[in-house]
Amino acid sequence: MIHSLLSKLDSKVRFQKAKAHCDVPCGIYDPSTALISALTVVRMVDLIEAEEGCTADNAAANKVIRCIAQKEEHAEDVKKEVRIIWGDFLKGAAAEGAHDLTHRIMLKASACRQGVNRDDAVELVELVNEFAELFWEAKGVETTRAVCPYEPKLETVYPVL
Amino acid sequence: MAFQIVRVAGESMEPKYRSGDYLLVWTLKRLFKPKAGDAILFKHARHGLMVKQVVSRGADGRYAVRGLHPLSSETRTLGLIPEEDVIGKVALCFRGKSKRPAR
Repeated sequence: MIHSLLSKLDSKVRFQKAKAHCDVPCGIYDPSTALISALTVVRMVDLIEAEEGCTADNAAANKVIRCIAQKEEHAEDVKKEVRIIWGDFLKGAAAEGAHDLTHRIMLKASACRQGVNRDDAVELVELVNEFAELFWEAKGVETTRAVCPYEPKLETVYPVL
Repeated sequence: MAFQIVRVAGESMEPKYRSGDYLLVWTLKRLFKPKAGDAILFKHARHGLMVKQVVSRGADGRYAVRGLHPLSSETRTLGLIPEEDVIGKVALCFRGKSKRPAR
């Protein structure tokens, strides 16, 4: 009631605006962190599989559990980083074009958390590669694909700067 | 004038004040001294008129402020607010019918 009266008055006298803005955007967006996390998921799956059958050994069990924890964390990091770029950076047609891909990354990263399946992890890297290409295209930056110079040595998208 | 009415623009004071709310601000500064937890209206050199919550008042008379929303800008980015830039203390908030649930 009072609000609607003030609103009418506002249209006549124009009350001053008191800014209560949220964070000043830093403008720093880069899919490389998501890619590194996706590659880490593959690496953890490889390390877990290398220890197969050794869980009776405490040291091996410790290593496997640590790798599983890292796999969980990095798969979740992929989701977080991709969500930030999708939600905060991509706008208009670029955001529209990324909806389906973003959703598939969410599902695939969750699948990587749930199981120990190398195919899922490799597919996650490829999906994030596609996301990186879409991101850099929106920034007007060319990209190239190269095998990352460390294990798991998979094809990775890099910006050409 | 003993008071001023302003319209909130932005989400940093949610859930207490939402964007579009009207605030009645007491401007007779001699009658109050903002304390921690009070919402104040102040002038900011870069951002203009702002509303934030007082965190603390330093011995030099400058206020540390923050928003209530986790993403709000705060003293780290706004700097300390000198006493003379404080315009008043928020006394009342008038809220319209919300089109979305409170966060």
